[in-house]
Amino acid sequence: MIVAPPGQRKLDPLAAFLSYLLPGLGQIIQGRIGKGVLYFVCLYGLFFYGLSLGSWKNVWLGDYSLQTDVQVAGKKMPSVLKDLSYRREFAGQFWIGIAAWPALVQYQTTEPLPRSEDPNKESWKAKPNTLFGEYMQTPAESSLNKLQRDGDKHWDLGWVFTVIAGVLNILVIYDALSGPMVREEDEPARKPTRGAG
Amino acid sequence: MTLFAAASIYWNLPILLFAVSLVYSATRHDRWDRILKEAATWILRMTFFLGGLGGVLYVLSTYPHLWPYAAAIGIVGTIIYYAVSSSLFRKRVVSTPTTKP
Repeated sequence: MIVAPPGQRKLDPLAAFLSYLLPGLGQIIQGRIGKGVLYFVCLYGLFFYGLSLGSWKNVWLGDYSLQTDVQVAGKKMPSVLKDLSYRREFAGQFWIGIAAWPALVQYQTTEPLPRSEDPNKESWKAKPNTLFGEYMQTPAESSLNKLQRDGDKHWDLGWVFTVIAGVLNILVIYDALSGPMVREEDEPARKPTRGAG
Repeated sequence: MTLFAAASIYWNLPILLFAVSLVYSATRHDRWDRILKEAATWILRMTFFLGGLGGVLYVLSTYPHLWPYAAAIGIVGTIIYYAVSSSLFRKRVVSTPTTKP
């Protein structure tokens, strides 16, 4: 549990990992059920609402190995970091946990995107995955163009929602790891002291 | 009417506002009364701040010749916001001992 002597915080790595997997699960395991449910509803609501705003095509990590190398301080970035630099949004979306894992499966199984100067780039389309189909798969260029042109900015707002949900889950993971930022014993109590939760 | 018709994506923002405020506040406190109070504070802060900015920018873009009024509204709005927030949202001073016994 979270209760620890003043000045010390008892860390709970298992709860933190569970909260990464499923927002709020770590808090539920710790007995803070209400907060766990609040996190789950808010973050999954935000994430999947964002996904739906973007027509379920705004969470993915593509294989950009054929694209121009990305250099930092004169050194080529490793493949995963290079792919993340081409698709930075996923660095935030990843933290929502299991909900973003289909994108990782698609990343492992989808063929690399064609180079930007490739004449077939517009018509390129990844083969659907046997398990997830086109869910969280790198969308075709033409499909993205259509969503951004005709979507009245809903596609863009959608990925912002998903990134915010992922980044907020980092706070939730920290809450599961070491408790809330302001602990009850640090606050003036109006009621008799209760245990965390 | 033009504002809301053209800006239909903004109808989605209250969802973001509520979710961010609730989650952030819940990571700061364990007691529900404190979580809800802090979440309400953040919802009001962000609504006033972003709504005020949006209102001033809307007036400026729709009626450019009214910029002195927009500026005056912005300044007065800022003063009112700080006056209200300092009285309503002032954090209680936590009486923590400064010296160890």
